[in-house]
Amino acid sequence: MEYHNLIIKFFAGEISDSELVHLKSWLEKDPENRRIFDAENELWQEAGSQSNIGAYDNDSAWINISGGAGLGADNPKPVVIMGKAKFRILVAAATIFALVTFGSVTLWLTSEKSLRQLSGGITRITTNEGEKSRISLPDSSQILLNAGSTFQYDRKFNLSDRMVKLMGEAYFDISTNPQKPFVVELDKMTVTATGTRFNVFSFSNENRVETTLEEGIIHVSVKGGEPVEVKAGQQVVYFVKSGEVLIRDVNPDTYTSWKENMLRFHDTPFEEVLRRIGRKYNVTFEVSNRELFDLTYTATFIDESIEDVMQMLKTVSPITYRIYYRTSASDKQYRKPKIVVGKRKSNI
Amino acid sequence: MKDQLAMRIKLGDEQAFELFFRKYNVRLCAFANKFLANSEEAQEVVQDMFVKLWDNREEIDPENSMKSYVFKIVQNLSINRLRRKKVESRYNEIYKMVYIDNHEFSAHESLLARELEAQIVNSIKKLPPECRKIFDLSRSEGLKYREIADTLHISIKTVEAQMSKALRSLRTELTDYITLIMISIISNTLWF
Repeated sequence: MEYHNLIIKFFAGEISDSELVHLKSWLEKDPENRRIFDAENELWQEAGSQSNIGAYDNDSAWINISGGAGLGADNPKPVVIMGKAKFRILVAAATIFALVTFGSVTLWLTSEKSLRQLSGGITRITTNEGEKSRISLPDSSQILLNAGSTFQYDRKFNLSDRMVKLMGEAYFDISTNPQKPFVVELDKMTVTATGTRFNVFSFSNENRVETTLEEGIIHVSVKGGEPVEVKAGQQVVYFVKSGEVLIRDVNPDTYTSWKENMLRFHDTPFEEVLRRIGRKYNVTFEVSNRELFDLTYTATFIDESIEDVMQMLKTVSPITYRIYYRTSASDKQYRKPKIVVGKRKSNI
Repeated sequence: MKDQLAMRIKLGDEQAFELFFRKYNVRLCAFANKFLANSEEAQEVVQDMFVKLWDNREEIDPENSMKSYVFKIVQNLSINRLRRKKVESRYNEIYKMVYIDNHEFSAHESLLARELEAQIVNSIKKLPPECRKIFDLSRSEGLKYREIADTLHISIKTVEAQMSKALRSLRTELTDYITLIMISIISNTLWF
């Protein structure tokens, strides 16, 4: 028992030189003594790991690991998986967009529920913000329609070809049929495939139109131009404002993660972050300070509540916010929650 | 039995990997710290291990326990690091003596690999108030015996005695618990 005490003093940094000599010779004497030392050490570490809060920080360690392992991104910048408050903010060159764009998505949303219309042989499926819809087409292709999107096809579908239209975001898993090409018409882009899997992002209020190919080959033409062949793992981006077209290698998972209820941002400008949060959680945003639009974010949220998401944004960037939950307006209609975002005074 | 989490990590599921990380990071750090007695170095070792684990995820064998595997790797990495330590303090001399070239300590049997967090927390809570206070000041706040004695207006001898008592009590509590697990495992085996 005397040696237990000596060992504890050793761990606590209280052992004297003469005691240390004792401890050493005791340890040398018998392997059993070393085993006792080990057991005490384990107990000491165990008690320390439990009581010594903050000695080992999971969050900052995870940032290092996910960065070191190149997780989640198609470039070596660390992408942070959100569990608690942790984030990476990149301040990029300012690109200020008008706030007006937030409202425009509602223009082609008509009812409370997703809606399938049959008029003039046209089938249209619309999802509201905060919801997704799975569509099985007559040719057994599968479409997953993201929030705030509209998908349509007509009765000629699958006769000589397979033409569909999309506004918004959808993931396509197209059944193979080289005789009948599958054509997705977007506002600014046309995607042609015979059988493959790809993701399309084309909102009227976003500056980018993106098509990301997970498997197979597709042909993409921008604004009626020459079709370009795109291979698996590549992405075509069309920047609406500048008219630039970019084909790049990406990790498709980053762009299809919404299927698994993840929200992924990669050097994403603040206003796009808000629009995407708005679509996913069915909330509207009001931003009181334009300086905030200079912020960009790289982060992944997995199944977090809107409250948690906002809290994290606040933790990592100089913002304040207030959530106004569903309020009934004078006409007895319920409005969607509104989040007012402002700039925090102190710097982070 | 196949380890589902291991399978998912093998297939590149980042969420599964993060889950695994969050479950074991602190325990692995504490485990590495027992060889290195330096929490920063311990964290480095564990982080390196996780990065390598992810890079080599295809090598994961879901038939074997991934937990035992990572504890084993952290043990090897820590001992290698301990061996390479240039600065000979009177302290790491002891660690080297106990852990280098000693094959009697298996990572698998480590208390830290047994997931007894709840029991530890409980056992610490059960310590007599005076004893717990002293233990916390030393273990959590990192105070010296002298400082604890001054803060609480007691003698160093009392601090020493209480520290010894705290560890003894934890040891007894946990030994009982470990024995209990063993008994239940054995009785299960006998019944079926």
